[in-house]
Amino acid sequence: MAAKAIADESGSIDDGSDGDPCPICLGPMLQKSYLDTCFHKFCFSCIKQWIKVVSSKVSKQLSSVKCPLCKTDNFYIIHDYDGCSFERYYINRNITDGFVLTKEQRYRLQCYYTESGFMSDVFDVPRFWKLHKFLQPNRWLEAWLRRELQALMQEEDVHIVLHHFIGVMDSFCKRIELRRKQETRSAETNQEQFKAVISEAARPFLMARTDRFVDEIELFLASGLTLEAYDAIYKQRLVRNIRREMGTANEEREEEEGEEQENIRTRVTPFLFIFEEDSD
Amino acid sequence: MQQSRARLFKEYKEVQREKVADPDIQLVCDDTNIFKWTALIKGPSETPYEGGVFQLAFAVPEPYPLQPPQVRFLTKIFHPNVHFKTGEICLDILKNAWSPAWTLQSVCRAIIALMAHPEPDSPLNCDSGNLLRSGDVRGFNSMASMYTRLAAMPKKG
Repeated sequence: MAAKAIADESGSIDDGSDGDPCPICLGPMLQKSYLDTCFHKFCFSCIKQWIKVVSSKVSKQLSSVKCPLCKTDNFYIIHDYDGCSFERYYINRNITDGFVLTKEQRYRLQCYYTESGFMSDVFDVPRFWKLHKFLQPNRWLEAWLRRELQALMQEEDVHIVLHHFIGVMDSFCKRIELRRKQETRSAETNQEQFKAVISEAARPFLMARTDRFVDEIELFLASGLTLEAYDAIYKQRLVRNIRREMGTANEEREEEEGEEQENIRTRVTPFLFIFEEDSD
Repeated sequence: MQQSRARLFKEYKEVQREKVADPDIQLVCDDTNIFKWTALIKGPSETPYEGGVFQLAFAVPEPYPLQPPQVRFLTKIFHPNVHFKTGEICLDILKNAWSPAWTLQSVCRAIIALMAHPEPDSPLNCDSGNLLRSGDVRGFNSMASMYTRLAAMPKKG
């Protein structure tokens, strides 16, 4: 019996993974992925194939697909989950929940792929803490935060998360202000606690990108700049960063020397920008 | 092709394991072609098919499990949703409602369920459907059990 012989042969190899097979190929789950509503698991390629078959049977573009196991409507596949981040594969490749990243949001996302601290020489972060500048309200923070969250969460509606973060920051500042009269705290303690508070608030939403996000928010606050001014400087630095990454080792050394001088020149005095903005 | 073959081997292994667990279904793969299967299913109890053993023929298409297997009755059966001459079965999961999570084994179970709960409103066998639709359950039952005795039971003597 031909079938039996081959079946027995393959049996010894993949018996270990038979505990949780993919319902479509019945084999071990490859690139385990989940449907967004019912959370049933499939191989990424298996469920994608099935979606292709289903959409080939209808004339108009599908926006959801019924789960092969429970018939629940699902809108995207969650795949490449590594414990803290995941990717989405939308059933309707054009709509992606009606949200597409704008150019500005894409640039913000790009910042998260650079080394942390590559802007630290531009803005004077320690001074920001020493002078208790974090206690002053920053009226551009909300706009900055909204864009940042939209880019990171890839969602249009970040209202609730945004106000959660702002609330957390506000209450932290109020707490510090009250205690300031009674005890003197070092700038470092304030900085550490501030970052810890934001980090705690952000982690459920931003997961693996939380730590970098906390650094970015500190950087933006320390800059004291408007959104536009901040972006201009950031982008300038980004471009140079890319150019440097592409350069050879030799050129890199030369440029680094030149850059040090340039840094001194480009170190920004935040007040100038604020006055500029106000005079408009 | 390779995918469907791999999946059918998995099902084959599963069937070997389950044989004891489901005494109503006996799925057998063709000796030389894994895309051809036959099944023997027992008529469900408290139906006119009780006591009969019905043979099904499976033809598995190459894109399986993205496409459903073609299944028909080899044993003659008097049922509103089974064509009396060809044995073709009218069952949604074998057509539009197919899902790749179904297996040959679970298709057999669905067919047994269909035997117990006929859908006279989408008939392939009009005579049988009309009997049920007109409310003549006794007439239907006696016809169905007669054919069960004639075609699905071992001949005595």
